[in-house]
Order: sequence, then structure tokens, then C-alpha cells
Amino acid sequence: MLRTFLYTLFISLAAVAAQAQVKKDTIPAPVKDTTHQASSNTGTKMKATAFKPIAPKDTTGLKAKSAKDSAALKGKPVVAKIADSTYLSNGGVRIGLDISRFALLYFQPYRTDITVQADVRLGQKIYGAIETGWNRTSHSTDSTYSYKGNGIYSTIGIDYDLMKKKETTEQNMLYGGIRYGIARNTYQIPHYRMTNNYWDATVEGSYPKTTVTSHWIELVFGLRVEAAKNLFLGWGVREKIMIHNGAPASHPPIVIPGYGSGTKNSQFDMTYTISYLLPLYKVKVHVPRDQKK
Amino acid sequence: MKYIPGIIALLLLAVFAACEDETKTCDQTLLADLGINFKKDSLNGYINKDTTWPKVTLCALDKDTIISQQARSSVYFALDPLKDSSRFYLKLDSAAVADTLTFRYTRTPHFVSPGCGFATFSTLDTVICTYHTIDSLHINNREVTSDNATNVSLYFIY
Repeated sequence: MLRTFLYTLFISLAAVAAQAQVKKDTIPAPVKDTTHQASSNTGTKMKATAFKPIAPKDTTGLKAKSAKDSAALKGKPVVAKIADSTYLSNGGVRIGLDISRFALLYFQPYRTDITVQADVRLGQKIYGAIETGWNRTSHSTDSTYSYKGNGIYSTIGIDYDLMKKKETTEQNMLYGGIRYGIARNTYQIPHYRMTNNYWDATVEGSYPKTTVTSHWIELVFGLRVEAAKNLFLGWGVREKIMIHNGAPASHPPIVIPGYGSGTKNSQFDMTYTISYLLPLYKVKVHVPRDQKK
Repeated sequence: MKYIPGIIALLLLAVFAACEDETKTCDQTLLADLGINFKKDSLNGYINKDTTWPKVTLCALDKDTIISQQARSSVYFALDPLKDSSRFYLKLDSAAVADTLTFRYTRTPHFVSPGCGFATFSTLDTVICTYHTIDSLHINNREVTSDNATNVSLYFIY
């Protein structure tokens, strides 16, 4: 399972690296920028794009056209300033499953987690992100203690896309973000045992069912690659910082759902997500000309 | 492309850090010992210095010896986890008269970590001693935990 996980991780990284090698000439050169004109005339005609009305998915056609146009422009005098361009990009809800939680079961067999993620494009580079999940923890040793717990959690926050797009249709993203997380979990310690050799004493006891609420902040950095049409693979790393742990200090939970170790004030975590984008609307993307050079 | 191996190495490290099984290893001590250090009181309490007694013997009453005739400037020992008071015999030198220390406390089971399990932490309520060799005592920290703190200082004039 670990091997499969690492292979998929490598594939996504390689895909991004390959994307980075795409030459700049795949960006279709604007033949006639109507944005300026449209915006100056009426505010309602902002739909005009910088590109010729070729099917947007047909990048080969765009490339050929672009080459032809650039060849035709060779003899013309240099324009002092090229206007910015605007195009429409897919927006919508992306729903995903964090499959690293299943791999985690191999390393930490005492915990079972299910995590569902969703994000929605709010603007050119801003995404609203939400995550919710469930955890069950069960651990038992013959000599020291047994533990049972379960709970749910949610996080909400924003992601900022740091990647400069090479193509208008590109939806890969390299993002940084911040989340606020809240978890509510119930746990109990049905049995514990302590021994002291000097006093020749054995102390046994139990802790009753306890329900606690915890809050934390997550700093997120990650990558999402469109592996197939609207299907994304992505990994992310997270640093989680506890704001408030509602558990008593004398017997904290082993696992706080969504956060991790209940005995640590900060926690590092990694996710690997497979997600699907439901393209529900279009988002206007504004690209200054000089950024494409 | 040249950064890819480095990124993969970092991610692998991240995976191992994130996937650590905390129940496998106990990285903390389960000993919640009470600590006592010895102070020499000079100039009627104005100068207090750590002091070492040459032949310290310590045991709980009616129990085995914890320390037997060893040179010590401090001692650490566990309180009785089944009772709310413990009594100890403390002889600091072969020529000195032994003293008895009585500790009264409340006990709390404490979950140390998923790998270690539980330890008994205590909160000192009262410390009583005889004053054959001991001149005075001072409670520095009432919480007896696994942090190896010095809970009580014993003062001597000689």
C-alpha cells in the first residue's frame, strides 16, 4: 500500500514537472484583444476574450494558429504596449477523498479515519476549502491500558493558487492556505494498570466516557494536478497548531479527529487526495501581458 | 526537474513524521519521584548552599533500602501509590542521628503518553519531619510529577 502511495505521489510530481516544461509558445498569442474595447464601451460586455473564437480545448489548433499569426506579424512594427487579456476558466465545486487516511491505517493500526474534502473557486486565485471527517480509535495492551474513542471534525478555510498558468485551460494548482479546525470526540479508558516494584503495588482503574471539543489552525501547502478531465490528484502538507484542547491534562485522548495526536500542541500531517471537479460556472481570469513573458 | 529528488526525500521524511505510531514507543519516564535536596544553612539563613552528605541511607518504614550509605546531595524516591501518606527513614551520616519524614498527599492517575501508559502523580499536602539532624524544611513544589523537579529542600546547620 505504501509503495502504491509513493508511486502515485511520484506520478503527480512528474506530471507537474512535465507541465513546467511546456513551452511558452503553447499560449495562444492574442490576435485582437477586444477586452479593452469592450470594457471601455459597456460594462456588460466583459465576456469578450483575448483569443480568437477557436474551441478552447483544441490546443493543437490554437498552437497552429498562433504560429501562423506570429509569422504574419513578423513584418509589422513593434507595438509599444500590449493590452492585458481576459479569459474564462472553469469554476465549480471540487469534491475529493483523502486516500492517505487509508494508508495511515497501515502505520497506525489503532485508528480508522475517513476524510472528505471540497473546495470551490471563489475568484481567479482564491478557493474556499472545507473538509470533514470521522475517526475511530481503539487500542489495547494486556499490561498497561485499553482505549476506545470516536469523533468527527470539520475544517474551513481558504487556498491561494500560487501557480502561473501556462495555458488558459490549465487547472493545476500549487497552493498555500490556512484552515480553522474544530473536532468533537468521545473517548474512554475502560481499564488501566500501573505497577510499582518498590512498593510492590499494582493500581488498576478506569476513566469514564468523556466528550471534548478542540480547536486548531492549519497551515497548508500542496499541489493538485489534473490527471484526467476534471479529475485531480493532489498531495498536501500541513502544520496544525492547537488553539484549545478541551481534554483534561490528566488523561488526554490518543487521537483528536482531524488533528492527530491528542498529547501534542502542534502536529505535522500529510494528505493525498483524489478529487473530481463539477464545473458549474465560469470564472473570469485576468492575465497581464507581461506576466506571460 | 533537478529539485524533484529533494522534494521526494522531504516528502518521505514528512510521511514518516506524520505516520509515527505513538503506541509503540515510550519516550518519557513513568517514574513520578519526589525529589529532596540538601542545603547547608549558614549565617542564620542568609547563605544557603547545596551540600553533600557522605553516607546517606534512605528507606520507607518497613520496606527495603532505597539508598544505602552513599554520598548524595539529593535523593529521589516514589511515594506509596496505594496510600495517601508515606513515611521514610533518612540517615545522613553514620555519626548523625536518623530523621523520619512523613508525606501526606493526594494521588492522581496521569496518562503520560500512548506508548507509556499511566503513572501516579501526587500533590503534596503536608510534610512533617523530626529535627535530629535536619534544621528546617521547605516545600518548593507541591506537584510530584515525572519532570524530575526538586519538591522539598532540607536545611542543615553544622
